[in-house]
Amino acid sequence: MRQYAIKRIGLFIPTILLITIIVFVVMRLIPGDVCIAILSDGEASYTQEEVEQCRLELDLDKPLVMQYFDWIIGAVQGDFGDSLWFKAPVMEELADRIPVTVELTILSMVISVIFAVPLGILSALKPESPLDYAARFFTLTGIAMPTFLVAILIVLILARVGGLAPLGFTSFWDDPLVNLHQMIFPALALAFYEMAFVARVTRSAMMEIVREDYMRTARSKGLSENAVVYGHGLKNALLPVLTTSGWIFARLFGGTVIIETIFLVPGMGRILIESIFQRDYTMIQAEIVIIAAFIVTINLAIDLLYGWLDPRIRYA
Amino acid sequence: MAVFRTDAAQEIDQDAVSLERARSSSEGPVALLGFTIGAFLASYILSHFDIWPWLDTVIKYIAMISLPAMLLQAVILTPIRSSIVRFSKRKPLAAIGAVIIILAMATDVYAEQIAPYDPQEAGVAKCQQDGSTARKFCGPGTDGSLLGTDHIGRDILSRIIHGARVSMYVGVMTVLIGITIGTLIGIGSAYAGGPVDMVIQRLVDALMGFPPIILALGLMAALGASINNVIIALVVILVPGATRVIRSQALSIKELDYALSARAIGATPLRVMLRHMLPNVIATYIVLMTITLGFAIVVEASLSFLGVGVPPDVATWGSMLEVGREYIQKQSWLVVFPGIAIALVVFAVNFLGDGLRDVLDPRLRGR
Repeated sequence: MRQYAIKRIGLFIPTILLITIIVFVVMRLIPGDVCIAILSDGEASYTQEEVEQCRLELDLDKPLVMQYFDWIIGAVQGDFGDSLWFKAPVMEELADRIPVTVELTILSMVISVIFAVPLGILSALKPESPLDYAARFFTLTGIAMPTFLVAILIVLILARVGGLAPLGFTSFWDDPLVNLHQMIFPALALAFYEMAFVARVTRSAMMEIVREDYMRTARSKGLSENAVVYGHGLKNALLPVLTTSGWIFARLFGGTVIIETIFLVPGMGRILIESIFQRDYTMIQAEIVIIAAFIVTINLAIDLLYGWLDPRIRYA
Repeated sequence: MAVFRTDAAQEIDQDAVSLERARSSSEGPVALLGFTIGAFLASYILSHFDIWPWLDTVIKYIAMISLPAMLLQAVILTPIRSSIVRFSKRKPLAAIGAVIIILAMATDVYAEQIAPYDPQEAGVAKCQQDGSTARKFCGPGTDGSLLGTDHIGRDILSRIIHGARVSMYVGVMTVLIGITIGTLIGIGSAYAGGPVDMVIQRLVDALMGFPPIILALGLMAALGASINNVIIALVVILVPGATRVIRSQALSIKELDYALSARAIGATPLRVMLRHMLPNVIATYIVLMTITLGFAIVVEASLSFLGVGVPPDVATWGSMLEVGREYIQKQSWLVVFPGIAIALVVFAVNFLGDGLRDVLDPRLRGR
């Protein structure tokens, strides 16, 4: 286990470094540079002095490598520079936004697992039954429906029924009920694809598990059907869900951009879109790095957990 | 001994003959269809570029002729028809998916012929609203507009038809470029091994650490909104996944006897990669293209929906939804019809992808 952990962590650090380099390079793909992009926005005219002044302020006159090191050293200490739009440290603005998006993501994860795992198991235990067909129809639909379409449909239904939550955002600690009312529908829309995905993964895992020797042994030693299914089957059926949860988190984080825009949730996703329109490049840069670092860290945690749960992995 | 020898010789002869017969009976038609598909794809892609006025027209006509020619050949040529029939019997949903995709591509190719109006033309239909005549927000089925008109009176049907142009073109173009690059890098990485492979794989790890849409947004923020930039952004998010899948297959092929013998007799690396490894990952290559086509279409629609993809003056399904969202309570047709178009195409692509994967490359199941 120790060797496996060291190997995994050894892969983690270069990945994080490469991620920061990729983001840094992408942000240098801007035609001209950041200053020209900001100053020429909306075909405004600008003077050469303004460009020079701006370059000086943003340290663009330094060599690229120096710029990268300045940025990365700040980033490690949680300082991603000043937002070009808010004229304040990026982290100040993001500090309020991160918890919102994290809550939305975790809520969606919980919804999809609670709903999809039992569905997947039941549909695998009774293949070709009406329930199985219903479940398979749901997974096919869920996987083909783009997130923003699901979100729009939910808004459409809510608008007709009159169940729209009060706008804005209330912290869970201030008023849990209003918070849940505001978050549950965005979370549901975000979870829709994952519900279908998790149900499909669980179903196919469970289909194989029912045929395993240990299931027959458990039955033959006289355990009740429930003990067999939930004691032996469920544990093993959850493993593939665990391995794919890295992708699930990545997709959920990506999906928040769309969901937060549609449901007007003030999280990281919405500010990312706003920053793109405001050409707030320091904000975009910081946000993408934070999200990617988050995903890579979750993946590391999942791999370690998986190695600990399933000894076969460690020695592979 | 001699008896055995002649027997064996006869045997081989017979096999060879029947093999040759089987080949000649299907090779001609397959080559013909392949040629037509190639002509269609090439003219289809080129028809989206402005090269030279008269050349553009020629290319457009080639696309318009080769599409029905392709379908006609599929129906007339017996070996192809029978394999299509076999596939449809095994995977009916995938066959339906294929039909829908062909329809969507036809919509793109013949957009100007079938769209009732110009997608940008306002006030094309008249309708009665609150006792007076209005030229916008006409409901579906009003005089002169089958699916209704939008907030400035443009015809929804015409906009959906022209929207297929963007969705299908961006989708097809990105999977062609992205999966091809990913395949070549995957094979190269597997063949090279050692430090080269290590570096490429870490790069793939890093790129896969980004949620796809976030990386696409970052690229769009830097490059600016345009169709070509959407294609670039989508290619960047497709390449790492394809590289990983192809590399793992190429690694096992590299150790197979024919690849080893090729290297043993001194074939150059390029020859081993292109002649021995590439043909053996072609099934996966085709499956990957179909599976990722739906994803590419959804991401393009999402980017346009968020307003950072294709510029707002072009009709796309994503931007139609973005506009319609404001009027969702009263004029829901603004959202419903483009929504149906996207869902239908993505359904179709997913069904076809799943079907092709099961038939061509069952190893990919569950990925």
